Amino acid sequence: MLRGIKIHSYKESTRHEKIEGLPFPEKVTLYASQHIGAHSRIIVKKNEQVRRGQAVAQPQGRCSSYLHASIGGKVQDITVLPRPDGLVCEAVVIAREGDQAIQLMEPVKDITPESIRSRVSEAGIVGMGGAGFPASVKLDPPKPVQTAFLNACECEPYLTADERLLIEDAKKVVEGFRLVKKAVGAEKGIIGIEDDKKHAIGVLRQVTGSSGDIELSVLPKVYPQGYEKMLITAVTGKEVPSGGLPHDVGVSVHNVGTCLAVYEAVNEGKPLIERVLTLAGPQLIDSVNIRVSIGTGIREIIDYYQVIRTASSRILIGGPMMGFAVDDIDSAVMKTTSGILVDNAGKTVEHPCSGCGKCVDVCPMGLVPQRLNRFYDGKDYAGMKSEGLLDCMECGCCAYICPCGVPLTYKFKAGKRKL
Amino acid sequence: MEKKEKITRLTVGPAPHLKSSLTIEKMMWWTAAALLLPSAGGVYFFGMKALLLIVSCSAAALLFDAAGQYLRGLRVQLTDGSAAVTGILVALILPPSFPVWAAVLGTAFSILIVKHVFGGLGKNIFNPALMGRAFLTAAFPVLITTYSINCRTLPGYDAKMSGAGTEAVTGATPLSGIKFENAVYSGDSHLNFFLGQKKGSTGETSGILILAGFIILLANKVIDWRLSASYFMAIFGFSGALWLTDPVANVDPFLYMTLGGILLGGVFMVTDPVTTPVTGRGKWIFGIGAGILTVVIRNFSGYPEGVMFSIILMNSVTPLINRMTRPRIYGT
Repeated sequence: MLRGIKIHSYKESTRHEKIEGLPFPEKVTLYASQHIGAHSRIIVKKNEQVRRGQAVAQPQGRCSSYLHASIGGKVQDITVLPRPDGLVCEAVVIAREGDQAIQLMEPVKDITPESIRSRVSEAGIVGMGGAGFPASVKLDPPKPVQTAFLNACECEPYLTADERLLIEDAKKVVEGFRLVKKAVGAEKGIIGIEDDKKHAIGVLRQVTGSSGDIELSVLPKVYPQGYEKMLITAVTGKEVPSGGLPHDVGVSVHNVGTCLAVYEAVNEGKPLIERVLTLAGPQLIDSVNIRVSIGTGIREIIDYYQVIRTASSRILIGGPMMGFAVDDIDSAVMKTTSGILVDNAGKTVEHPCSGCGKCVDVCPMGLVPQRLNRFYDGKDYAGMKSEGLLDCMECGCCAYICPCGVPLTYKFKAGKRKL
Repeated sequence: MEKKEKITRLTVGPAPHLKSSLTIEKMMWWTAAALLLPSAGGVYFFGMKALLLIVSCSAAALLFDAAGQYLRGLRVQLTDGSAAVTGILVALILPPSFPVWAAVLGTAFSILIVKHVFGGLGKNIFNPALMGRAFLTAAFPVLITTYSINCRTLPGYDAKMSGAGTEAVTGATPLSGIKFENAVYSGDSHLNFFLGQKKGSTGETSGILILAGFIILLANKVIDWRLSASYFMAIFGFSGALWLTDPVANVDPFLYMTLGGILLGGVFMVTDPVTTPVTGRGKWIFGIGAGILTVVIRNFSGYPEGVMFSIILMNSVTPLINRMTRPRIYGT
């Protein structure tokens, strides 16, 4: 049984509302690094006219990605800009002009693992759950895979983008998942979903119904059920070895948004130029799921909706448990941006650890955060490593539960950097 | 490039951005609130002397904690409530007739030596209140075994009806009665003892008030139920087994549990987060170990009571238990 935490989901404000489209932004900022791996190489010049859907950057090496213009217009600038997470990288800034019809690729006719992979690469698809691993690489596992997983857990509070995609576009997502399953060479497909997503479960049952190749696995709602190792163990009982990856136990796990993108790339020839994300939080008048062009400025999105701003306003990218706080509102949406949350920073007072052991009870990895914390305070980073620091997935359960307000997760991230 | 003006200042901080609402301050103040129940019991059964003891010890604890923080060059803050809790606990585990000056001395030992010398809040190895009492046991062996204030009887209680019950109100504590005078307590002692009508330390006599505090602490997730449950189960099982082997020489397990400091210790001492293990299995081992030691000391040593030493002994092996009961890391 997954340890983890029972946490209020805050999903009710968005899970019943249709995904809204946003008007095309005046300009987009396309970072050359939206993924894990080598930066993409920019292939357009300043002042060049680009069409919506045209490639503006190419992969450098195998673990890299294509990047496409998400709006049509003129390349206004090619410069170094900060991403929402604060890292700076080269970016293409496009100003909107004229026609916004998408320049599509030819749909793939002969569907084989190779043709799926090469199309996924051409479409610039990366893991859209947050990690941003280039999908074409993930679809070519180094070890044989028997089971493909569609991860529909979306266990982070507030986020309902995947849930809405499943309700509104289940057929395409499931078809995309079938393509993924074919590409990785898996015989079996399993959709893992948490039991609070009643509507989505109903739709999925209908869509997968009689096919038999895809199984639905309804899991209890516990954070972090959607972390891939936890999902694999909950469904199969197998544990991914320490330091290993899912393919070490014959499994490959994929995100809902990614599967939709794979479907659209293969069957419609559409590159990854837009995504659905959840805009939510206590500081918003209306919480919504929106479909936005990649590269839309965070400021533009927030200004489009009504937001209450106060001195302690905080903008988070991703979920509130593993996401990060933005300090530059002029950074832009990336392929991996699953949510934008606007909330108020609460005050946390830090006390010395009281040794209550609540962190041990909630750690899904079986670590003893209290002990890691002691080693960190004593600057014994090697000691942290021998206590399993590298197995920490930074889910935040320990820091969430800590009554003493010790920023445990932050300290473990810092400890990893010291190694 | 045009320079953009920042409209808002944004607050940043590390993930996770959500926090559970249970804080250590809340936990400590809930503990203090739960302690008010046995404290009120102490005042009812032993009068204003008990109140004086509780007030002086908690005031002294706050004062010594401030002094300890000041001497260590820390910013003085008492809002976490931990010193107040220690002070009240010291008073509750002393005889109501214990001199106030000596109780204050014990509190000084608890706070300055057991807590601050070992590194302050969260760093102490031993339970400060219990070590304070252990210090007073060594320093004032006569005073600590003198229970000279009679226990007030419950409304409607007829003293002429039961001999041994009266003895428990005016004579020795039931524990030393059993240990040194072969006293036998009749059937109605169970209820009277559980309600608190017996001699004993200031806050330990009323089981029902302690258990009410227990419910407050459990409902607010202040204490870990596994520590109390394992402690009570071990004592009940062990004392029950002794009673079954010799029902004449041994007290039945129900009465056994209401005697002395078992309930107070099992609710407020065994559950101290700082001095008990952090792991789940460790908590069970701690509770069972302390429970067995309590019975061993009570039944097979020269002391009538074993709660204090059993918990202190288990405190000393807590780091070892933590080390031995580390959970298995996922994927290893």
